[in-house]
Amino acid sequence: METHRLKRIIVRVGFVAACIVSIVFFIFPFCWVLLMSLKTPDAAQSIPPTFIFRPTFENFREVLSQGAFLNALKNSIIVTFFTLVANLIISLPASYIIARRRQKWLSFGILFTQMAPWIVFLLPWYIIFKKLGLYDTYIGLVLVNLTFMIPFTIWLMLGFFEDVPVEVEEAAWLDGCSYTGTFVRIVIPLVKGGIITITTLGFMGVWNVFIFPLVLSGYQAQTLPVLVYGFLVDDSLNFGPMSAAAVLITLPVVAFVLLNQKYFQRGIALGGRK
Amino acid sequence: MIQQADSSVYSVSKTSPPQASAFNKLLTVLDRNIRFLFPLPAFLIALGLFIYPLFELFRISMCRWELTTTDPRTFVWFANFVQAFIRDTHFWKSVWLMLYFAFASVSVQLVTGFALALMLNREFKGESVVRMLLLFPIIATPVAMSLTWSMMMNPFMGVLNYLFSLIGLGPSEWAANTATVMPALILVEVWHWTPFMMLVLLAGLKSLPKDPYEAAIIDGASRVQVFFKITLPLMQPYIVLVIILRLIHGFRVFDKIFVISGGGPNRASETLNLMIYHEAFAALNYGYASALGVIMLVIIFIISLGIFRYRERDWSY
Repeated sequence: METHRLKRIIVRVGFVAACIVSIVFFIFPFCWVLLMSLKTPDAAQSIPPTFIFRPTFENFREVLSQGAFLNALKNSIIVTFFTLVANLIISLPASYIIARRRQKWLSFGILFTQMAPWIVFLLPWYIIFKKLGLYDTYIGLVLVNLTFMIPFTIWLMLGFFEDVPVEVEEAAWLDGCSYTGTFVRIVIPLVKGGIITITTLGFMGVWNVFIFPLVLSGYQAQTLPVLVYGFLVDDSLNFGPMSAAAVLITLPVVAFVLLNQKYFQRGIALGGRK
Repeated sequence: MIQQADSSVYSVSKTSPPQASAFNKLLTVLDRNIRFLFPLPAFLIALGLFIYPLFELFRISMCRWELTTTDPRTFVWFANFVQAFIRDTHFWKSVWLMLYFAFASVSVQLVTGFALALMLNREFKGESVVRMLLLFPIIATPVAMSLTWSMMMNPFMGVLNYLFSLIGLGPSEWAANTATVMPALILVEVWHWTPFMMLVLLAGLKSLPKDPYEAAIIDGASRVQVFFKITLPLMQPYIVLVIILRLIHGFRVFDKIFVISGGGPNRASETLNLMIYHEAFAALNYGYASALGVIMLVIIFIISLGIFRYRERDWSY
């Protein structure tokens, strides 16, 4: 009896310890970058690192006072917003039709776009965009963001549209509602959960994307990830402002996703299901 | 004919504003051809941004085209491919690095992710907090986190070497040494995606039937036996799925490698992905980069074809 209890306590302690160790491993970089962003240059470069210091917002002030940062912030917001809106307008009708007329060959097309190595597509895009004057424009960036958003949205929404019973639509048609009207007024409200899920995942994807704006934008349409990378190129040892920039770019996306955490977790579970 | 004329006269004579009637007409057209018009924009984007660029890519891959020259391209047939396969000493290494990075990081993630999932597959206080904290690596901007890791892995001022010294280990050069750069990058990749692995596998574990476990307990099976004889076989579809998902992603990881090591030192971490970028946008060898792109596409196409055939039976749409 005694040994049994002892064993349970050991298991319990082991479990808690393992939990703490794994959380520390996954959270440590976040804590570290936050600490660094609040340090003065001297404290940031001291060896061994200091853990107790007087926090300063100097780094944040320095980053936020740069015109380039504000420009990139504005660009990021514009590109993310218009990508998400355009994505819904284009993908929802397409997904609806595909869900109602099951078409198997499409799954391979969608699968392939999910696997597309973007750098390969960026080669012709770069040439085409330069030719069409889309290089370094919002439209260009929104277009390339749509290439990964649309297949993903169509694919994720299929399940939601299939769950809407056809009887509901038939009732609306009998009442004299047009097909389009039924879609907008009846079906869309029924898949609201899917729309929030896709917007949450999409916000994360579009806000974080680096390789597209890296290749397809100069200064004018440059988004935050490219700008933040620039800090490393300019001065790889100036840890303070670099950390502040990293914190500033991560905050909005973490806040947004945590607000919609339920939908985010469901989206991940859905991504794993099929 | 007459009817058409009548109806148009009727709609004009009505008191409703002409704009509304135009809108209604548009709606009628949309309604009649809904099955073509609804997917049309998505189809046009696929055509303009996938199909056409692919043709363009194939064409450029057979040209000699340096972006620096004013008169751009000369058609050279398969010279670019010959150069990649035979002359370029780094090409095969970059393919190997791509495969190495993907397979190594996915296998480590699988072990750590599965261990975490098994550990968290129970009810306990603070479950939701633990789960929320584990989401952070997935959500955070990869470039920002790559910057953070590159600061932490700085050989002189990084905190990781300091932590190493606390537990009596010598300093490592991390991404600054040809021998350690790949393991260092794989560590960051594992940190980034283990939580995702864990979430998917945990969802799988929660959906497993209870009966086999009860039967096993009655039969007096040990925990190890239960794990290998029941859990593992039942989890097989989920495991295969996450491996596929992560492998596909692993082949094209760009942000981390680009930010942390830039493919260096001495090209020791320059995967095919990075090599294409460097050839196209640093060396400006556009034709050659496109040929490499075609090769990468073919590799990924073959792999995804294999996956598709494997998965065909449970593909539900």
